[in-house]
Parts: sequence; structure tokens; C-alpha cells
Amino acid sequence: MKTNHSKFLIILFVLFSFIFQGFLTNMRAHFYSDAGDSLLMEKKYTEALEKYKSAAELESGYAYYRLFGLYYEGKGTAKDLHLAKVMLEKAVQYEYDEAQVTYAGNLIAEGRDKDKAISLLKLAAEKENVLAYIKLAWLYYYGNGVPKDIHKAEEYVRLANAHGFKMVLSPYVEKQEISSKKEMSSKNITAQIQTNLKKLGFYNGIADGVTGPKTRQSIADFQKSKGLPKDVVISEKILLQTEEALR
Amino acid sequence: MYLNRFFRWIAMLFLLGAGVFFMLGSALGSGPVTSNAGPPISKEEKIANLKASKKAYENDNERLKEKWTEVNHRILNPGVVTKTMSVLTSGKSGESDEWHKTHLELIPLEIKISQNASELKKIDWEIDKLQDESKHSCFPKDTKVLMANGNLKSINEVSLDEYIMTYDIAKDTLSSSKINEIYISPNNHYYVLNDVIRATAYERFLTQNGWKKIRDIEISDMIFDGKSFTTVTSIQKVEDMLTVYNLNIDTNHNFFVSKDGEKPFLVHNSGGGGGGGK
Repeated sequence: MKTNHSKFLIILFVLFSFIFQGFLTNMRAHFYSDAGDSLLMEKKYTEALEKYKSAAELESGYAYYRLFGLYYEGKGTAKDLHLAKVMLEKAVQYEYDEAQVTYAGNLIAEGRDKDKAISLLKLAAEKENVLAYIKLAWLYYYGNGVPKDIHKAEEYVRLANAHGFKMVLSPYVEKQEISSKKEMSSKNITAQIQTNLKKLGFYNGIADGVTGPKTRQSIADFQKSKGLPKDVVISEKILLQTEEALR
Repeated sequence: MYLNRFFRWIAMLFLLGAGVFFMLGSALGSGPVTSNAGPPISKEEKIANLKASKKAYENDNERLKEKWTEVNHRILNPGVVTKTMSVLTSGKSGESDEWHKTHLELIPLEIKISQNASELKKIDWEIDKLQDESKHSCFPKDTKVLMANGNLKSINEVSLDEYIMTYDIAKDTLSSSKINEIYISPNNHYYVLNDVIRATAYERFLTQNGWKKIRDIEISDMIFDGKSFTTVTSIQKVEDMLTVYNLNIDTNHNFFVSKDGEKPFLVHNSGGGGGGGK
């Protein structure tokens, strides 16, 4: 009788553990992700990375997306674009909506598998992801990857604006944008990089837009401090790197 | 014998507890990090500081989202994407991954927007703790809900599968949808809007600036009533233990609430239709 009773309790315990295993796994993933978020907020990137790795092992799409960000930006680890891409794909696999938007954006930018991109954006839109609404609005507006449909575009604009956007559909004015980029393509980019590096404490010369040894050295020092690959040829990429570091 | 059985139960509970603790692992020991630098400050000051910090994050995110939208405007236009790519990759890149180059402008913005959003959530949780408010968004039982047939019904009297009036924001028109879930829970407070509508801290109303938690609504904000916007003239918090209710709606994820047939206001439903979790 006693033995039967014990067996019953053991079976009950095993059943209980089995039922709650999924729940506990989710809970653990949340704990690790929360800890990672707090550390990220305090700019303790290495520790945050470890917490997100623990959450990712528990199949958290959110944690994979955070790992993607850290590998992409080289925070808490060396910059690794290949690993970043792997993390992003994992986050998509676990249906994390922000990852779906980023991944879809990349597919569209590369001009490949737009159908997959659109279906990922629609999945994210179902979760009320506002960035998905905006991407879909522009895609329907321009008929990019989908048949041109202004009404559909307007519907996504209304949904986006219900989340605090002030989006208005209007044709893109190509000339202004391209010319502004061209203006930024030589001396101005160098001057802006110098200004940014000055703010970051890597450059103490004059922001004159001239690329000399001092500027190259300060770019190299900046990239080394951020774990970025050395690339001292002036480009918009370095400008973006310095702008990101200033945020 | 009873004593033996008692100890056996205790042992089982202990084992169960140990199992749970083991499964939670070190994550429990490394929960959210709190900063405690500086001299002690009052609860009100802490809340004010958190709200200021929240505002700063919101402003930053607004700026980032504007930039993000503008980049998408350009990049998703098939007529200019090739030229945009050539501009972006005109300098010597040093990166071999094509996917990185083409998406160069958007990715850092998306990472930052996402991080800001999670930091905003964290700030909200800190405010929750200080103000002793739960994340559950709900209404007291006497809140009237606008049904699909135009009648009003108390929220504690609606049933599953009944049809309710919702607003199809995409199509900008009234619509009806089925009640999927009804949630009932205890709560310790509610906010009163314009001396009429009562709801707990996290309940979201559609304002002129998008969905906003009742806790974050300010005087002179405008809330949507299905036809136009009504100005918020008063908002108070009442601390009181009460049973509260909320609904999950099949489509559109919203419904209208009213007090005694007065002007109904559009609110977000509970559960479905939210952002992705962790």
C-alpha cells in the first residue's frame, strides 16, 4: 500500500515536472533576457552577451535578436557579421517580430526572395509591429514585390499612425536625396568624421576635412577601441560607425 | 503512519522546490541590475526621474523612427534602390558581406529602436513597482461595452463568442468582432478619465498620438470616440481593491467602453495583437 502510494507520488511529480518544463524554460529565458537587458542598459556588453546566450540556448527569439545586435555592432565581443547573420536567422526561426522585419528588409535590399520578405513582414504586422506596417506601406505604394495598391498602402499608414507615427504617403524625391549624399561624399564626410572623433576623444586636430596621418591614426584608434576591423579609408561607413558610437 | 505520510509530502514538496530552483538556475541570482548610486531620494522624485528618462527615450526613438521611415521611403522605392546602393558602397568597404552593405543604414537604426523599446519597458516596470501597479489592463465591472448591435452591456455580463463593436483602424470604419477571451482579476487601483471612464494603469486608449496607457495620458490629450476626438480634461488615480475585467477580441484587437451610455471611447484589447515577447 505504502509502495503504491510512493509510486503514485513519483509519477505525479514526473508528470508535474513534464507539464511545467515548458513553462519553466520560458521563465528562465525571460529571466536571462531581463538580466541581459539590464546589463545592456548599463553598457556592460560582455555580461549582457553571456545572459543573452543563456536565454538563446532556451530558444528565445528575443535573445537571438539581441545577440545579432551585439555581434553586428561589435559590443561585448569582436564584430562578427557572419555570426550576426546567423543570430538574426535564428531569431527569425523563433518568430521574433523585430527580427522578421530586419531580415525582410535585408532580403528586399538585396533584391532576392521578396515573397519571403513580404510574408515575414505580414507575420510581424499581425503582432502589431509598427516597422512592419511602414515597410508594407511603402512596398504597396511603390508596387515593390507586391502589386501596386495605394489603398492597401493607406491602410498600413493608418495602422502605423495609430502607434504614434505621422506618416504621409508621397512620392520619393530622388534628386534631393542623391545630391545631398553626393555633397556628403568627400570633404564633408571627412570633416564630420573628424568632428565625431573629436567628441569621442580620439582626434584633437582641426575638423578641416583633410585626411592626414593624424585623422587616419584617430580612426584606427577608434576602430580598435570598438573591436572593429581596421579600415581607415574615408567612407560613409566610418561616418556611421562614429555616429553610432555617439548615440 | 500519518506522520510518515506528512514527512513524505514535505520531502516531495522540498524536492519539487529544489527542482524549480535548479531549473531557474543562476538567472534568479542575476536578476535585473539596480543602480543605487547617490544619496537616497523620495519615491516621488524617483518616479519623476523615471518619467523624465522615459520621455528622453521616447524622443530619441521618435527621432530614430523618423530617420528610419525616411530611409525606407528611399530604399523601398525600386526606382532609386540601385543608385542608393552605389552611393552606400562607393567607398572602400572592407566588408565582404553584401547583405551588410545593402542594409547598412537601416540595421543600426533597427537595433537602436529595439533596444530603446526594451529600455522603455524596463522604466515602465520600475514605475510599476514604485506606484504598486500591475501590468494587467482592465476595467471595473460596471463599465459598459458597446456591442455589435449598438446596445451597451456591462463588461461582467458579456459572454464568449458574443459580437462586439470594434474599430477597423486600417479601413477607418466601425466593424464587429467576436469575444475570444474574458479575463477577471483583482486589482488595487484605477484611473478616472474625464470623471467618466475608469481603467487600470496599463489600459490603452487611442489618442491623437496613437495608443497611450491611461497612466501616461495627460490633460489636453485627445481620445478617440469612434467619430472624433474628445479632449481629456481630468485624470485621477484612485486606490481601491476591486475585481476588474478585460476582453480579448478576435480581430481589430479593440473595443469601445462607456459609462451609462455616455460617449464611448476606443480601447485596446488584452492579450492578442501585442508585440513579440521575449
